[in-house]
Amino acid sequence: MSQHRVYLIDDDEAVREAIAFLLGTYGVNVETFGDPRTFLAHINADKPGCILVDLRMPLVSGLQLHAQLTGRGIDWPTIMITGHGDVVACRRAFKAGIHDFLTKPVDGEVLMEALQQAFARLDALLERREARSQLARLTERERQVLDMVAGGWASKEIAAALGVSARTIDAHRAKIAEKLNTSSVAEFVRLTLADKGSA
Amino acid sequence: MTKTTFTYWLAGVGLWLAAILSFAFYTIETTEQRLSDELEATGRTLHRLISQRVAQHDAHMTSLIAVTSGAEPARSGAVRQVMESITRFYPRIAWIVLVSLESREGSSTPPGTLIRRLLEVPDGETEDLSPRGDAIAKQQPGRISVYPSRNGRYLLAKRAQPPSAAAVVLAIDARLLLEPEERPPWAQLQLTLDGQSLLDLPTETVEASGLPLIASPHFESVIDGESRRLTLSLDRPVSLAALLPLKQLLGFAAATGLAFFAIMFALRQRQAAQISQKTMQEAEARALLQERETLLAHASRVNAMGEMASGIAHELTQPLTAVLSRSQAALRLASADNPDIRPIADALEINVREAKRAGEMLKRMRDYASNRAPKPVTSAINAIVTEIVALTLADLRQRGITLECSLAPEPIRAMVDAIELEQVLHNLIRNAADALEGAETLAKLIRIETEAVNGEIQIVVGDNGPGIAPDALQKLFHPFFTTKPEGMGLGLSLCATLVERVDGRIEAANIPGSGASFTIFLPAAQAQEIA
Repeated sequence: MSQHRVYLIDDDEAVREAIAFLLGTYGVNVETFGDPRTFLAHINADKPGCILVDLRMPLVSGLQLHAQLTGRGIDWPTIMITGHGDVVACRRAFKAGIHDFLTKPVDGEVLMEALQQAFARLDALLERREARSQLARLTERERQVLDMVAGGWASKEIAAALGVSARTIDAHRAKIAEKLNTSSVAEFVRLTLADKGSA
Repeated sequence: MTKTTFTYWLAGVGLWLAAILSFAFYTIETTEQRLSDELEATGRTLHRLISQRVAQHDAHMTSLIAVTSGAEPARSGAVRQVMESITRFYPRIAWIVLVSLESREGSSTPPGTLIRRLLEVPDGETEDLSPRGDAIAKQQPGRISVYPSRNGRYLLAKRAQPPSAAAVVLAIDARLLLEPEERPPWAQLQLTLDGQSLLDLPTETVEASGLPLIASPHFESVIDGESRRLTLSLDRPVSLAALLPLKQLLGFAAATGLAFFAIMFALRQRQAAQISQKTMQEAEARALLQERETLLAHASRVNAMGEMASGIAHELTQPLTAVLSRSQAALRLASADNPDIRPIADALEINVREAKRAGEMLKRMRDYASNRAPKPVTSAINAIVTEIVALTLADLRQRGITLECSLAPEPIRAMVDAIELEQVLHNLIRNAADALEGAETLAKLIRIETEAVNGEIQIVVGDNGPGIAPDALQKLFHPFFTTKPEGMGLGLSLCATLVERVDGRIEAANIPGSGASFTIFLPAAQAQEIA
């Protein structure tokens, strides 16, 4: 978990510094930014992390930043912190897909809890992305066979169901094992589940 | 005040004198009228009495003529009796004589009519009828003629119808035509016969003599009847005193004088009461106005504070957030097995600073929101401007507006209430920000400048927004004038009130080419210790 980054964007230097200090004591790696534009210029899709952003900031608000990130295809979990948590802002934030909504001054425990959930979600997100890229290598037939194997079907049963010989199925399975770099059924199950996004 | 009172009194005295004068004139007029009416009435009564008596004389003569026209010697005794009874009953008929008119012929005496007395009552009257002979003889029979006589007497003569040559002559004592009790004691009574005085009775009593006689009502009347030419005249001498009784006048003067005094006093009392009431009402109105202004100022402050609250809350939560986070971090460091004291101490030091920053913010807000009475003191204007800039900066930054501040290098001071001036500035800044809100200006900018020019301090709040519409420029400071859909139109009006309260003024103008500018002018205070 601690290998993940936290990107903290807040226009108040004292707040940035203090929260970074606090998260540092939990061993979280924090990168701080004074305004959303610097962050947008700096961001790198290869360095995923959770985003901790103030709702009210000059020029670009937290929500606007979130929208711009989404537009760039960056859907890392975002936690909004705000000086006044009014219901309207909160609802708008959740509708926009914000992971969590916290009010300032934020308690360290609460913040860490929210971050841990966000990290978990980020992990799942990355895992699903990984699974998808692996599964994308399979042909349609291979994917069909994989789903049936993950569903607990024996090769014979699959062959009967698809109206082909058991040998053909075995050949498919060998190909799948080669492409996914594993022959473990348990691993097959994990990948298909990750792809469905339930993990 | 005293001059007015004097004028009032003068007018009062004048009125009083006029009242006395008109009363005098009125009294004289009415008295004169009354006296002359009385004279007229008395005159008519006397006229009637005399006329009746004259008519009686006529009747007596007619009857005497009738009595004598018979066989004259045989009835002379009876005629005499009649004549005697007449003179007995009517003392004014001094003499009755029955005469015979005989034409005188021959040359011994001049031609004419000889009057021969046939019968007379009383006897031995010295009246000489002979000069009247011709006149009587020429009289138309049955008609009565009047002739003057002596001693206030006059004669009445009547001829019998021809062929009788008889005539009756009566001597009437004019003095007895009226009974003594019938004549008015206050008038001069005259009876004249063809202008010849028969009777002249002077006034017995002149009312309040010693004063000049100013008016004398006159009555004159010809006694009607066959024996005409008898004229009755009455004169009533009237003195001023009779017309205008002094006591009455003095009484009236005193009464009206008292009344006037009372009225003047009452008027003065009323005036004083009115003045004091007016003063009281004015004071009340002033107090009410002041109260309203205070309320309005407070309401506007609360309003403005509401708008600022979000900004302030943001400002306040920042240090709180920092303090909380840092404290929790420090706690975590402290709970380690072998804690490093250095970062903990650093964190605490920063926390103290942050907490103070939050405290400052709260103090500012409290000052701004408190509803205290304004107290103008010599204040450093730059400090006030700096304060309001600090208060609004966060909000403006939030709205993407840059605030530029250029302060006079030298210390400038004016007698103001710091909170009120902050309020005025806040209003102006908020207006500028509102104007910039919808504007298409890219680099939204508000500039605040302070400057001392010719003993006057100027604070300029300008923006690069769309400026003020020319027609709005005139009405800008009028109460309830607003260009904002949900504005009350009190902001600038209140600004003007607050600034004028400390002898300052506020002006609005458009900066050619870019936006609006408001300038507050304040009289500079002498350099002294800031209270």
